[in-house]
Amino acid sequence: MAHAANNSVMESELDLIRARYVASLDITIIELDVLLNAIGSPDSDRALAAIRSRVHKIAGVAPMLGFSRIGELARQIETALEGRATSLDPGKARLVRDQLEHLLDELERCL
Amino acid sequence: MEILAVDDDEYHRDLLSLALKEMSYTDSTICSSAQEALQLIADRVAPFDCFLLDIEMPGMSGIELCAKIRENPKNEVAPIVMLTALSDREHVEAAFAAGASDYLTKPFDQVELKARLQLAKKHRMENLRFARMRAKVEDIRAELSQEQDVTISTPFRLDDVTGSIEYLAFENYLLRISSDFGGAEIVSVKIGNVASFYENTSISEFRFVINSVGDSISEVLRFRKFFLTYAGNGVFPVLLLGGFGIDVEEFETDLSLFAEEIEITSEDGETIRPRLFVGSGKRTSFIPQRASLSALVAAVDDVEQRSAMNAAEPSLARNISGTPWRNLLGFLRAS
Repeated sequence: MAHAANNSVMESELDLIRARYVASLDITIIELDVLLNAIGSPDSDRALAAIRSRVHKIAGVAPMLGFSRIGELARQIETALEGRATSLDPGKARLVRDQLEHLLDELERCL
Repeated sequence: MEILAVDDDEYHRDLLSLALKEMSYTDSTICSSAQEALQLIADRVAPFDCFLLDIEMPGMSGIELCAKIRENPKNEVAPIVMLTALSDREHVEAAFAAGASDYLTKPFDQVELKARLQLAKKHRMENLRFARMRAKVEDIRAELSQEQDVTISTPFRLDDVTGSIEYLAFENYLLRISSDFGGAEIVSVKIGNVASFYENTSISEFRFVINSVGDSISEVLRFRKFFLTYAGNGVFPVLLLGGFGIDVEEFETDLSLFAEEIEITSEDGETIRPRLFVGSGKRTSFIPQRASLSALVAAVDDVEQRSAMNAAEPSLARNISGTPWRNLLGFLRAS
């Protein structure tokens, strides 16, 4: 009985964290959208570094809150950008753009 | 077990807090940066029992923080579990080299976290036991009455030997490396006449010899990337990283040269020098994670057999099957 009550408390705390996370996604979407448009611009390298930092966090947290598809997409982008110190070649840049578009679509579905 | 968890992501901190609370780790402290963690550690009288560190954090990374924590002797026995979304070789190797005991790849579920924390708890108990043992050995006056605590098969931490890590951390590392890490090779070094040292010298002299041989191995491999440990029974498993194999005969010759000055005079006045053997390398690549432990077993078996054939030391030959160190391999599997 006590165990069930405890589970229910934990579930509701998890729901609160999930709700806060979802509420923060609109900002994440805007940021990623701006960074996506900066790929290929003179600020491209900084944009890619910022994208990698954001998708790194998303890949770690989203699956733990039940958003496994978002986690997968974020991980794919992180892997594509791993260890990258210089600009992407055009083919790779296109791939990252496509992956980012998919991620943004998926994030919007959560709102 | 009092845990300090460090993560810069607020949602991850909340999830960790929730998970730790559910597992009844009510004494946990969670903070958001390495600087804050160092301050919390400095402000405490009693050390934390366990650390959970995110690797990728702005400012000081989790790997640098791990090294800083280990610099303080009061944190010597506390397990450090790294939390990372990056399971790449570079970060994991750097974390273990900085003193990490284990790592957990994000995202992880509660069952996985619970298992790693149970393992960390066992690891801490083992470390405490070894630390107590070491303190006893260093106490020369108490040594005679406590010699039975360090047996010939006791693995212990090598002091100030470059590339050396604790035996349990070595096992952890092997368990956690994946086939993506291809190219690792395990080779073992054995002191063929370890029983002579154990039976004819004091515990502190025995430890001196083990440490000196560890130093020699480290010196010979100084241009390579490697992890080294002492598994007991005079056996030193070495994990060679970087995808290059090793010429066993050349390694054995170089090692004998480096180790030729190591000698101990026994109580009977006899001078004993270590006879070193190197087994053939066992590759860990392209095999399932847990099979890496089999590679360790095979590497140690190989050098035990070589040593037994060459040294014809009956007490060691008997140890080839059912070796005492083999019991240690069950440590992780039992968790």
